[in-house]
Amino acid sequence: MSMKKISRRKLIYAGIGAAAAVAAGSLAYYTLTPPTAPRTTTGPRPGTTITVLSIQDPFYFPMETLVENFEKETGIKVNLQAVAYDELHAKLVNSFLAKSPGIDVACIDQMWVAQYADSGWIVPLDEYIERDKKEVNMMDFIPSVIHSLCEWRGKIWSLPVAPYAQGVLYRVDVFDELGLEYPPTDVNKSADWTWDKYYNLVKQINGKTVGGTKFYGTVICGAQPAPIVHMYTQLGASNGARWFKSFPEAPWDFEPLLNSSDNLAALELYKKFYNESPPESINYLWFDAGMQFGMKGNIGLMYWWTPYFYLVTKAGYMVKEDSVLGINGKPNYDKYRCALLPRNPAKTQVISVGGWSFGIPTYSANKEEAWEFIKWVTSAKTQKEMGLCLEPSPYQFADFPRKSLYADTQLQQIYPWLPLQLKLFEGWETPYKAIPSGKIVRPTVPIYVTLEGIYGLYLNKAVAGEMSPKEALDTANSFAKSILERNFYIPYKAESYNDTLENCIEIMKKLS
Amino acid sequence: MKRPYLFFIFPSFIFLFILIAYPLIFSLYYSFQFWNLATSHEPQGFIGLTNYLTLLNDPRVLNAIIVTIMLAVPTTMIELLLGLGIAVLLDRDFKGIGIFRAIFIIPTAVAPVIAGLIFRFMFYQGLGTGIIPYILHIIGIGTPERGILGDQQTALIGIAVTMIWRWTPFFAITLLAGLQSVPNELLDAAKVDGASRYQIFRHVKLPHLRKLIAIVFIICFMMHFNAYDEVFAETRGGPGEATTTLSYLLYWEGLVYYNIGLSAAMTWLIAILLIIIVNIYFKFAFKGEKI
Repeated sequence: MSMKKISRRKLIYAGIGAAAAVAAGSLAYYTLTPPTAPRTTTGPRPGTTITVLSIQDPFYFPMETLVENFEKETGIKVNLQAVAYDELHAKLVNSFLAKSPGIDVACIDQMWVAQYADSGWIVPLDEYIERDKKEVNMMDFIPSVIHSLCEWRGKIWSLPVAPYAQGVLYRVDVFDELGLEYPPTDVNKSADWTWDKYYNLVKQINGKTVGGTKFYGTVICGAQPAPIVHMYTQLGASNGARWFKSFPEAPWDFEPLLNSSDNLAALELYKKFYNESPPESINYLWFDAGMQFGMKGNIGLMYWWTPYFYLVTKAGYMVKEDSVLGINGKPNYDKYRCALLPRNPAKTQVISVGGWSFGIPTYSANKEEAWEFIKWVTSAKTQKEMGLCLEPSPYQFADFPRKSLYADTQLQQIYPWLPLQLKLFEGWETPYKAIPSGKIVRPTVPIYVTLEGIYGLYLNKAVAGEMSPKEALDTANSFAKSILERNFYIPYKAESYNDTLENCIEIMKKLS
Repeated sequence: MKRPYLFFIFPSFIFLFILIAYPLIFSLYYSFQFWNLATSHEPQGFIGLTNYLTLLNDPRVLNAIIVTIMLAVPTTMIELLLGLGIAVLLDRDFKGIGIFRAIFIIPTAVAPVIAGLIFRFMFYQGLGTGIIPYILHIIGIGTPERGILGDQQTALIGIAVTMIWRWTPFFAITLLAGLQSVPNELLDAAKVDGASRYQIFRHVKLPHLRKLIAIVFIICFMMHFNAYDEVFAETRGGPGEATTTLSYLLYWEGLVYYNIGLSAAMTWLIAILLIIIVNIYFKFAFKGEKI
């Protein structure tokens, strides 16, 4: 048998040809394979397994405990996966870029909704909501929550599972011992509740010893970029600071205003707060600040996201043991209380709204089943059960997206601050105007995460004393401007949308 | 066919070529494109060297290069010295040496992000004082008010300590293997010549280890140059930019901001920097030698 000789050159050519063919084939498959087509049959199929990718925020734990109820009711199996904040976004985006049908229900931070929607990675839920309007009961959701977490360019992309607002926590025993006036919970008595007054209280508490514990006046969240931005922007917005010249109202103009005089004054005040905080709080993440108030129990007064209203009652994250602020598994509301945010009398009060919602990825092959799950987890019934859940940690969920639950007496007995929390979500007109808005405090534009990175870095530098507040804000603004210009936000040539709360309420009404 | 073996290694060659070359070509191609997922989910076109120029004009990149070098060089050197010292101490037979070696390697086997979290708690100063500030206070060494990881001057040292804890055992075990491979004939000859233990170490064992040290050093240096996990777990690049390494910055650009074009350019920038450093290192470490 004779063997035909193959020259080295031919071998190399053949190799390159084969490699090119494989690469071209892969590329063609990647680009030409259409996303899995939506199922034509209607209704969820029992026996189907859906994958839910979630964050491990407090809502996850009672949801995980109760998910077997959903499985029993519907026959749909749930593969519930939980990851940390940073990993969640990466996993979702990687899955979307690969057009993978691996995720059926995506847990979405309010900051990602616009990017996912504009990229066509999640499906609008308007048709689903309209079809199942009785079950969904859209008008029971708090409008500011839908506006901040779920709506983008006039469509609803997700439903909220755990919305957060910001409010004040204070130690009753410390205020009593030092003879200080309690911060108000009644809007009608809160006109003189100002940031200056807040700072004066902080100063009066700092360094005092009560019940054998030496107290700090307050605690800040200083780690960059997201933690400090989350806490600082509440103070900034409350004092009139805005990120852009015009957003969310149309016409959109993304000229950055990070170095405005309002923002500078707010940052100087935040720096003063840091001086009355534990020094190491410059490096504190979200939970560290909350735990200093609860587990360590040496903070007199602070403002933070509403989940901390109950998280501070435990000795650690999702543990059964009570902190000094818990009693028999429940909040000890005689020892600490929650209150309204202070304001700047010269400015319109703005309350930060954030949190998590669930949406359906475009590439999911189980959209109907995913929708069933979303309806179940956001329903009043499930949400109430989550609020009353004892496992793995008792009473560690009160972030209800539905108004009706805030009037529930059983829930109010455990979480006495619920009427106040609803007020923070709803805002008010008199005796002064207060607007609840996630879109003003931290604008939910697709480029937000990049801007937050820059902003957080320079806020941290200013608070740490590495730069003056003015220098830090000027640098952040200049960076932001260059990023916005490079990414076609300045000048903004795409279509604007008048993204007001009123317009969102109209959409909700239409879907009801 | 002159060399039939070529035919048989050909499939593996193609497979490896695709595996290695595709990501490189992909990232090189996109480093010249404008592609930011915050703007569009598809590339927006060729922009030449703009991504590279943006990076070179970004003060955060220069800072990250300085931080990376300040972290990688001293950390690797300290690990080498400690590892060598430990290897010399272990280079003898005593009861339980096998178990000791097995336990000793555990830190290297711990996932870097776990090591970072462990040290974050050990450095803690506010929420229940961690063991490290506690011990330092007992022996009379004060720690910064903001905590070791919260202070500009000490945060990088905190990260370096974590890395030294993880990688010193690797150096020690590798160098120990090197020490034990020194031929007995050489050691016996040195002893016959009346050489002291120090002289044997200095003039027989150390020259024998030279190449091994050079290789292990550069491998660890490259790993430290790409430090990310410890930074993420302990400081998130802060305070300010005190611990923002190049890899951490790359993580943000690539997997948080999803600026694909810019992060691809940054990948190449890091690779080029590393290639230059490694080549200079090899030029000096193996002057006139074939390796």
